[in-house]
Amino acid sequence: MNEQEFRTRLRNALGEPPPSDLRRALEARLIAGPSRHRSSVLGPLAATLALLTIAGAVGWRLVYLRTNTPATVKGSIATAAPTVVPTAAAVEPLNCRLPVVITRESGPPGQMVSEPGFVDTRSGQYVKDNSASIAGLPGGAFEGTDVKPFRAAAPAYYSQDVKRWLPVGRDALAPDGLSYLWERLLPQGSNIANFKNVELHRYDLRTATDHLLWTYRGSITIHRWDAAGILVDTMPPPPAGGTMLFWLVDPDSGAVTDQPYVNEHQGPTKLPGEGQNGSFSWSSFGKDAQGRTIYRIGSRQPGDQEWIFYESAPGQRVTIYRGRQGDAAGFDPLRPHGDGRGIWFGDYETHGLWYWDPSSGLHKVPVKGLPPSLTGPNSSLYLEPAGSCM
Amino acid sequence: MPLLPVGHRLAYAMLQNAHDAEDAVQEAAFKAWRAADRFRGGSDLRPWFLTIVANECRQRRRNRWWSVSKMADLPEIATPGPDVDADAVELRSALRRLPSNMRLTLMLRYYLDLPFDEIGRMLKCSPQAAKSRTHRALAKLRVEVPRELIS
Repeated sequence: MNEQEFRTRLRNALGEPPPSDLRRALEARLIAGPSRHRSSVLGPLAATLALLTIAGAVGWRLVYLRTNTPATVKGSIATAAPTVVPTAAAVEPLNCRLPVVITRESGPPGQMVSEPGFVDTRSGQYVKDNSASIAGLPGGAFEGTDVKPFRAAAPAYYSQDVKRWLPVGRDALAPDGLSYLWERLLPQGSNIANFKNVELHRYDLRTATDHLLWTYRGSITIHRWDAAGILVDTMPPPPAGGTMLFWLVDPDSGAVTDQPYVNEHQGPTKLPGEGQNGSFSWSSFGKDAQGRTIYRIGSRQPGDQEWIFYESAPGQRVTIYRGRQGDAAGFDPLRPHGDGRGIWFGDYETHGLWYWDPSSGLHKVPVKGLPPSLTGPNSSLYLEPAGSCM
Repeated sequence: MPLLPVGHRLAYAMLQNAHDAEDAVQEAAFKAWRAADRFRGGSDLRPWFLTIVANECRQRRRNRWWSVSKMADLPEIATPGPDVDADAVELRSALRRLPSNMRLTLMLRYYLDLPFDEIGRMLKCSPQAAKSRTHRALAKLRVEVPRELIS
């Protein structure tokens, strides 16, 4: 057998991968990713996807504003085995002020604008927070970044613990909410194209003091901060090729201990019959306030099944929504924010909000008063919950 | 050449599972995004991205959950259709038994049709060494499967 015959046999044996809209899946996955990434993901994400696909072949999807009255979605909700969740502060979820961050972008040429504000969840009225400030707070953007479009540090999360906007997302916050993590590129003045090291800092909001925890040659990504410490992964720059290592960082001393590889790909426990034909397609796009992963089985492809849930125990799914992508309910969830009582979601398509809790189910909160989308090609607007309702 | 499709093909060839392949290439793209601005201009992007994809596939195979649970799934997921013969099943099985670096070499050469100089850049060796590695992988595969399949 010559090489060509072997090539043919190999290809016949392996077959071809089934068609897949990877770019769309990537958009969903990355935009719904950890909030630390979210703060700077859109510009470089667009650039990278353009690099990895055919630039301009697939644009950002345009989204459309709907302004309806809040409504409870019924009929397609199958809430199963609700779990006990801690009671949040005594606010009525559909009659409170929810911190949100609106990101508008278009391009090329790249433009990106974000603004913090609040949504009255009873009326759906959005109001920009003109007094929002992160002055004096470090972090929130890589210094000297040359990412285009440039994004400076901006309010990303409203902390009720300290009653102010912070430049980082909740993933970077201490369990008590009184410190947060941020990163600096080194050498001073370098940017993400040429930095050598990254410093991991902890900023104490009570004393307004900063503490250098760790310096690493490569990137650091924060996964979670809990009683055990700060779980991060590190990745050296190419050509090492993206080998990921996990570490636990002591938030006080900065001492690090290496950790086993954290499997972020395990997915939900399969139920009987699932995956029999290899069609078990899932993704995760955030966690609730108790740290439980929120999964989607199906995809964002129109007509595909859409089962949004978390697991109260392995194999015990608590359904948030079950239907079809693009069905009448129109639930197309963006990054969730759990506030201890329920879970808030943004929405890819509607510029609205959704609220779910185990007892009352899923509620739609159309939002009005949003700023206009940017002019230019591929204009998009995303509205995301950025704190607990108050 | 667009990189996502070729990355997807490599992941599919390495993992032999459609969902895992998609997941792996998504993760690789995410890592590429994180590192894209550190990519040295003027270098060839494709071997760099494929290296990340290959590493992601290795990471998944090393992972205990993957190796236990997903490998158990492989027979049913990769069950050949009626038009695929038993030789194909045997060849797939033999490829899975190969060391990861050998399997990668064969996939790069015979599934993706990459030239040896590009394979060499991925494997961090010369084109000649890449060619030698490919032949060694073929030799190893011959041990694993009936000779007539790849003689």
